[in-house]
Amino acid sequence: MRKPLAPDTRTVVVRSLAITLSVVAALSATVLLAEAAIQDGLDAWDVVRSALIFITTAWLAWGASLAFTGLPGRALRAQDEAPRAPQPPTVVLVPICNEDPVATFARIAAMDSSSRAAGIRADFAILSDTRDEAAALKERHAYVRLLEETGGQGRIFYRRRSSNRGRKAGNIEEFIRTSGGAYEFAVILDADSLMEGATIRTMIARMQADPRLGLLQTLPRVIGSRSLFGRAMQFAAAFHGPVFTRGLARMQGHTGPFWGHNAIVRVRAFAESCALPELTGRPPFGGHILSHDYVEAALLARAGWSVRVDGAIEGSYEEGPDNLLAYARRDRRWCQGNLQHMRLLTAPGLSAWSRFVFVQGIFAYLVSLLWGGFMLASIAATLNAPAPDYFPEPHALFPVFPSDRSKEITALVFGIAGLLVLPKVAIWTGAALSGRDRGFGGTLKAGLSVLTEIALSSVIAPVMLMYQSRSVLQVLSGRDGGWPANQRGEGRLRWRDGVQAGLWISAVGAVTLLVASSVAPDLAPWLLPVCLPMLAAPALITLTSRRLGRSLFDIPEERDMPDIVRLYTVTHASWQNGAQGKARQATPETGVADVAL
Amino acid sequence: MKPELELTSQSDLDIVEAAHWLPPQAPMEMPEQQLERPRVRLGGRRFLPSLIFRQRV
Repeated sequence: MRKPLAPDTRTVVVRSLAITLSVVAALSATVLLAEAAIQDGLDAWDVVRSALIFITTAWLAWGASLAFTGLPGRALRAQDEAPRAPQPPTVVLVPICNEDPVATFARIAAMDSSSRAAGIRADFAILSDTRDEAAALKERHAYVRLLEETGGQGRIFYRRRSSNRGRKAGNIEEFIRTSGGAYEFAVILDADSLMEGATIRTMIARMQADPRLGLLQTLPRVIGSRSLFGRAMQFAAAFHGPVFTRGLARMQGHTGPFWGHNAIVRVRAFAESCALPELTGRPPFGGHILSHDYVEAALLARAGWSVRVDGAIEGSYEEGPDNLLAYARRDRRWCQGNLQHMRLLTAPGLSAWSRFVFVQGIFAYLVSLLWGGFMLASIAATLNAPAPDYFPEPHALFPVFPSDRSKEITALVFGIAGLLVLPKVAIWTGAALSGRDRGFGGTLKAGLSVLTEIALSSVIAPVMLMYQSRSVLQVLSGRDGGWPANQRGEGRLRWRDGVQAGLWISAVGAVTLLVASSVAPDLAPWLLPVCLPMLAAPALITLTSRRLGRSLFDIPEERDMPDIVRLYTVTHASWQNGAQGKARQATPETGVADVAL
Repeated sequence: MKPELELTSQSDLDIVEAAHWLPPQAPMEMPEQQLERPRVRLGGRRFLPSLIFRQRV
């Protein structure tokens, strides 16, 4: 086994600066809080909340440092590149499990056409893990349709596993064990991924140019969102995403990320280093590795391969959750997967940075619990504070009033808000200066979208904090969330759904506010920004799922629809229309039944 | 190129996975990776990290 590649000087400098910024910001916040807390004497709760504010602020500052690291530099668009002849054999893998086959296979038809137009010879392999026989039959029908429409026999393949051992990672692993020898590169997609042929061509060229490169990850742009929630997320991903990703690329160097899809891998590298074992014990911490992509990236790096991310490669797309509940459901799975990485922190041979990446992933979820803990510790500290002593000296004529520390607390609140807001404002400024904001409706409209997204994410944050805290507690208490199928395309929620999903959050918010008002009235106003959105959780969940027109959150892909999206839209529409006339299909159980293809 | 299978009403009822649907047979070895350190026993007790992340078996 080769050794992991050492980070270059620039990567080391960037990492050191980011860590320094985070520690300085965290220390500043801790000092401000300690100064305010110490005025009535230091107790155990003050120590607890000081420690918590140190950790949580360091986390926020780390996120901000990613953005600042990614800001300098010119174009956020990579040049198209062409591979050297002969083009290495390449396959595009589309693992699916209980997906809508018409939409998924229409995407494959569009990508096949786009690849051929770009002069790329790529096979496509649909790797089905669908367990339901009726759904599998629909897949077979859609596959035959796909062959018919594309003439793809011998180029587009379909296989269904008899057992879905190892889930998605096991699905890809099975393909490589069976067919990996036929290909040099594999583009790994999700069922909702779309990729331009020119993008695949560029990725192949990059892999060819750097023989040490084991995996190249693109930044998929989110498309197709219609709700307020979905469009805000879509805008943030398109506007802020490329800058954060460039920061990540500079920070991680050769030890870059793998997000599980919209990436290309060197098949030999993947085969020799990425067969995942089943962890001892039962889920959630044992069993199959849920967040396999982070682990695969770490294993490639362990075996001496370079793993890179390039957010400037365009033409890579995916769809995102269109409401808060779909987002929270996906987050529950990611939470379990990331916490499971606790078992892998001591895995042999990993680079220190890979271990640190695992810690970051774990922290992304633990931090919600820590923010909640900070709030509770603040209430407890206020409860335990001694009554002010206005006459500390016996026989004094005049009272001594405790010094007002609201200045420190205000500075702390503004500092923390600054860590959240400043990077986004800086990205907007950078976009205005470079002209990148034209694709987002111009400087003014982009600015308005940025501000609205900041306001919306601030209001949603306490609700997400509650969902994430619940997920963490469930996982730590041993509850396995499994791997529920993605529910793509679900959008608008009814009030009943919002109330059912959000009532417990309202109750927690109400109790927190009531308790704080009665035992620590001075503290209650500071809790309002957190407790009010919690009280309004059902309304937030429901209303943010409502459709939003193009009044805000424009993205370049809406102003100028990419060719691959247009191709997919047309293909999907024609297949759907064709399918409407074919309502009666066979099922294995009954022979004939109503099936909407 | 015309595909062998066509969507006729009869084939709709008969569609089964055909051999030519499968990707090419070209096996490649994939050695399973080691991610967990072997458990060390000190004084009859499990030692780190299994002590920290003890599993319910």
